[in-house]
Amino acid sequence: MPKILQRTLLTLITKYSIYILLYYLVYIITCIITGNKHNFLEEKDIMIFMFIIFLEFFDTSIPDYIFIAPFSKEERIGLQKKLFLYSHFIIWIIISAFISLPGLITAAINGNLQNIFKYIFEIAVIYPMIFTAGHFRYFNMLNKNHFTFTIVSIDTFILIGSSVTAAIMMENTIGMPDYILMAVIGVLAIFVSLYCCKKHFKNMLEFYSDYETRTEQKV
Amino acid sequence: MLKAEHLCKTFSNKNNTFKLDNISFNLPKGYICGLIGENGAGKSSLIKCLAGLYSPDNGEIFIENLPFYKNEAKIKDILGLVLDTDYYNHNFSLNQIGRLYGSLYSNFEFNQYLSYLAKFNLDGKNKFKYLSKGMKIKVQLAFALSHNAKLFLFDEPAAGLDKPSREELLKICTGLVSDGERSVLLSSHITEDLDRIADYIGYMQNGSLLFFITKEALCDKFHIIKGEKYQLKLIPKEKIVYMEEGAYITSAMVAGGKKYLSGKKFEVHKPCISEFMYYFVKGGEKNAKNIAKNFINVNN
Repeated sequence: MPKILQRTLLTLITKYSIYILLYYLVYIITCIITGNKHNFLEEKDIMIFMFIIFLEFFDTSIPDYIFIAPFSKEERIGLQKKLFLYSHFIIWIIISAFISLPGLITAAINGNLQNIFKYIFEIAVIYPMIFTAGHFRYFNMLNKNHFTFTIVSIDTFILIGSSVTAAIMMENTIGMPDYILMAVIGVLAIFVSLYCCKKHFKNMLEFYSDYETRTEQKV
Repeated sequence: MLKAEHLCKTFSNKNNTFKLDNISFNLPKGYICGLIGENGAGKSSLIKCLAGLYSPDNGEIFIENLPFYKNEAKIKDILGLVLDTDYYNHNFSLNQIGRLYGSLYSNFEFNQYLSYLAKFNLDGKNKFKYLSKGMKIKVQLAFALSHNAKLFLFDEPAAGLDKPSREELLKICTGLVSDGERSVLLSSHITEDLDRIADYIGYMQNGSLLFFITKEALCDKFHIIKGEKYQLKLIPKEKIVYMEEGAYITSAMVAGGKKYLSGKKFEVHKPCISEFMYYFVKGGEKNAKNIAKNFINVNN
């Protein structure tokens, strides 16, 4: 990976981490000001919903200079793929470490199997959601004035799926309906991410690796 | 060095469509070509095509006899670019630009880059975003000159440069081609500069390259004539590029030889590039096309 791309990746992740931190700080301050009696550390899972939605506006395209630098189109696509996958993988690690991991560790120390399962589910389900949310900037650029049924459906799933996941995570005890919901969200998350991967991922990489499509000059 | 064959490219957006139409030319090694034309004639679009930013709908580009799109990475390694848009990260310092972008090229010399920055009075610690337009062009220029490029594509490099820097740029351009191994293609509205350094002139009009010819051959084909109106009216209309009538004196740029001028009292001189461009633009698109077809591209 060229140095300039490593730098771009670092900048992207730093920016995203700062936004996450700011959101979390605002949340904590709001809790304190409003006198929220709940422990905000236990409610932090609700932030997952915000962070995944936020990813829909997150630009993970290669820097402009790559278009005039000595790379062929195939090499540009390869660089774009690395940048996209690495950045979203790191974001997954950050979100997991920031939100899910403390809960998982606490649950493991307490030996609470139900909570261990909950947090493992959370860590597992947010990766396909992050991967899918990463496509939305491309969808928006592609369909500037209209949204297709598929895109609206996927977006709705991301919105509802992440908020329901957050809601389940905040419950002290989970019952059968929660398990069913978790199963549905898990299956759907895998399905939409596979759909994006098979149907749109390659096109998105080509779109971002072409100067004309990026700058809307293509007929 | 640089050859374009029947290059076509259509650009389209909501409001309009623009087309680069069947552009062919051949710039040999060791020469400087000045690309001229009105605003919106397609100079920048052509340069972006040649730089590989836009892929043509038809036609082919050869650089060092290699087809561009089959050897894109190899060719881009030997392209030195100064474009109207700067592609660097604006938050980088000039030193970072050299280190990070330079590492992408096989022959980038960081010390040479620093020496060009010093030559242009630029501090490597400055951030790119705080530079003026002229300074940003200088950075692009310093970078383009530091990776042992063979072909230089400069889009309006003189725009925003002060007089001493422009002089420096002209000196650099002539120095670049002095070994006969490198070529420069530059677009410019400052035609006086092209008069001094260009070996070839390409004239663009509404997406077409009307002609691509050596400067000497071009200037030999035209004359600026000044005289009384009734005398100039005797010149065949199809040879007149444009006639400007003044209160006392009328001037015209005329194509072809001088034979029809004999026996008449005219003040005649060969046009410089700025005069050439002025009369060509004033004469209108249709007339320019006819003149190019009948008098310039006849023997080419």
